[in-house]
Amino acid sequence: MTVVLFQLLSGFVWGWVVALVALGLSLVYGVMRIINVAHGAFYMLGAAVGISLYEPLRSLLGSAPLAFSLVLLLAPLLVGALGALLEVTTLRPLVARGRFAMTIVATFALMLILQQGAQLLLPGVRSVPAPLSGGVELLGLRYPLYRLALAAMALLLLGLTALFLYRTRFGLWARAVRQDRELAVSVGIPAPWVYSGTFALGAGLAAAAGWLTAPVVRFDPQMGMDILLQSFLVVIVGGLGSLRGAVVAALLLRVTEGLLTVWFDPVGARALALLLMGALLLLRPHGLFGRQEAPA
Amino acid sequence: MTTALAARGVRKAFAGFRAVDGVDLALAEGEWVALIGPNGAGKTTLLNLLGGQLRPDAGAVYLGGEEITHWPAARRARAGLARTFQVPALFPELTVREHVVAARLRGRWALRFPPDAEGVEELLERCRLLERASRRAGELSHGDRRLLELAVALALEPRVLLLDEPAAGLSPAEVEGLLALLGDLRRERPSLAVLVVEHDMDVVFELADRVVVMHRGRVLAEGLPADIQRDPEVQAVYLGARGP
Amino acid sequence: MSRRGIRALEGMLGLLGLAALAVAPWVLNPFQLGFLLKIFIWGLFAASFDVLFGYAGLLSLGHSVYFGLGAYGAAWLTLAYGPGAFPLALTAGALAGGIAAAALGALAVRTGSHGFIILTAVSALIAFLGAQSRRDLTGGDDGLTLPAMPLALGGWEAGCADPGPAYLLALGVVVLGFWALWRLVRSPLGLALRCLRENELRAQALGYNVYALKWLAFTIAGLGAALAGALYALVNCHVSAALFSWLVSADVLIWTLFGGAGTLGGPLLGTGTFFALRELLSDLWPAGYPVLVGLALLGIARFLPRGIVGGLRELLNRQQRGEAQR
Repeated sequence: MTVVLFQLLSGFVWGWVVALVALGLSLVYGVMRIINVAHGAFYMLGAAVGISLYEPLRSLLGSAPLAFSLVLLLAPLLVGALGALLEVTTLRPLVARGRFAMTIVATFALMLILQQGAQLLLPGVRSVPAPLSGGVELLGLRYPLYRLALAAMALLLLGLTALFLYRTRFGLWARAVRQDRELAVSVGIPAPWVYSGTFALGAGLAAAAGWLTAPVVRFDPQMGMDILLQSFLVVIVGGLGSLRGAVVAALLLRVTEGLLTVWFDPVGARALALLLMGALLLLRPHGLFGRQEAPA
Repeated sequence: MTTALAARGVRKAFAGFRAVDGVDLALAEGEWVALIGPNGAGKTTLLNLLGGQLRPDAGAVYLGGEEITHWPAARRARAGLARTFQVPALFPELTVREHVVAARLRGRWALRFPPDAEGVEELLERCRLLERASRRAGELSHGDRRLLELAVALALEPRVLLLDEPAAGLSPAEVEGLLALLGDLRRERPSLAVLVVEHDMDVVFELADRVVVMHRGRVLAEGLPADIQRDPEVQAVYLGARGP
Repeated sequence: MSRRGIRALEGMLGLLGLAALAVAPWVLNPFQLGFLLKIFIWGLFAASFDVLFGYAGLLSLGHSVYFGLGAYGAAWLTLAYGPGAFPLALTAGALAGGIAAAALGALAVRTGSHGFIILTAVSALIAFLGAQSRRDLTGGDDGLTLPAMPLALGGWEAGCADPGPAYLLALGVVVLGFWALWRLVRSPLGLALRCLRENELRAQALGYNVYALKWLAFTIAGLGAALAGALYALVNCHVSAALFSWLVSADVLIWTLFGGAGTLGGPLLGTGTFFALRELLSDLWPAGYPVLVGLALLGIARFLPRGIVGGLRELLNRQQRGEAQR
């Protein structure tokens, strides 16, 4: 019983993390109509940048939670800025020419370069200690406090992003471009700027998720690939372009995976969970909250 | 007279906007009908409902007496319903000849091409595209693309042909050529039924046995070209807005 | 030069090249021979991908699944019935991949073009994780080792380190595979697939059932990939879960784009180029390979969207048109 509860809880925690990563992916897809294969690399970079900043900041400030929070602010900003730079230099010319397949190739290239760059700059596997120690008693189970905080932070960031999208001018622009690009441009919305901003936002969200999970996973330059593909599946099962669908599907995927871990080995449980989620597409080819893809 | 194509009470709404709002229409075998009306009257939507690019919310479509309302576009094409499109965007990377060959296969495929070179060359010649047969469609001029649209539709050897603004964007000389081509077609295939959406009234009056006027998703009037020209209601919504 | 002249010249060069490849076992050392063999097998894999991507316009990021299934199909049969059953292993491996592609294809082609990309990528992850999880069947990351095919030529026996006669068998299968794919893309089916790639709506209006065509392209591509995979297993004497990785699927996209999508020969050229590049860099700067590949890809995406062969054809076309105008 405790095992089941533990796995259920872990599934929930990771579900929110995947939702956060998938939100960025879905936003970038919805606004720019590109499938960003480099998204997982931004997740990894969030952890990498965070690990590099954390130790110096902690000795400077003398407080682990304070340093951790500061990094949570800085890492997404830095990675987001890098994302915007990469978007302008490599993706913008392709998006402008409508070369959809080539944008996938380009983001794949960025992924290779970023991963290898992290490998060269951060040799050796490193990890950071959790800023919150201790655990919480829950129905006879002791669950690490930091993991619960992690879920809460992911949820908070999701809420902030939603607020940003629905309460700011940029959010309005992004939603307008997502709905109808040509109409948005014709009323004077600067689409290229919205693209760069959205790409930076997506990269920043992934980086935040990367740094938040850094204390509970081992850093590895390839760590973004698994979560990238999970986010892919979540975005499509939720319904391409549906933010709500992505969140629901993310929770569903990881809770299912957590439950399956009770009976299967972790790798097998993950494969099976992905398979089950994929099978959902048999019932609903356009996802849980999806509409039929408009003819291009 | 046999009915070649018919629509009964077809409706189609987009997000509440009734683009086609209960249209009845019938084409007899060998009949040439022009569909006119101001922009936004629902002409192209109706063509899409007939051609199978859209499905109606209500009503039914018949091809030669058989109900085809739920048939996909491909099946309609194989059954002899061909159409051209308003924007002549075909297969940019394929050559003109390949377009015609692909259309003549009518959705069939095998590992060998049927021995059909003469038919292809003849059709290209007739549509004045023989000289540009090895060009890619993406490199053609607008006028040639319109001709290719027509060639591709004819290659399907249709019973019913839907033409969506075949003369749009053509020079006066090109319009002359198009009319001559369509005139030949009419003589050679007397049973072919044609529904043509067109803005150019000269073309309409040259081609059509009958004119159907659409306005706000409904059929406003129909009759002989000369009668339609004199109809005060039609003049008010359409001809009056353009004519002298 | 006239078009027919160019054709004849190409045919002659092709035959000469084939003859040169057939005598390679007597000229090259075992390492070089193995290297060449690798390029052919992965090149066939890339060509099968090209049918799907270059001709039908469907971008799959899960083509490795069928290569992996073909390899494991052949491996399991070899382990069960011994290396002498290699013709059976080859056939069964190819069929296993083809059947799996037919099954997944039926779902994937209905999800829309962007959904298709994502679904195929996820299918590769599922296959990869599944293979890692069932170590009892697949050997996981360590994989399975097979005995060499019992082939001999004169007194020369094929081994895993010294392919020799196995090279000739593999060359024959690869040539046959390429020939079949070439026939396919030059047939009415190939024309239909190109129509589909260029404009789905218009292909429908010409009477083509686009779902059936996409499914067929997916199945045929899966069959071709599985044949290459089965061949790989038998010649390489080793298979592992890594064959399923979606990175393998991304590799094949890279080779195809570099050589020129929609040309069949281009993907083979791309495969050879990248294998050579990796070999070269493995001595000089191993960590640099991904970075260089990344930069090369950015360059291709921006400046050479048709790849090497596609770009050359374009140039030739333009030149001919220039001559015709003069």
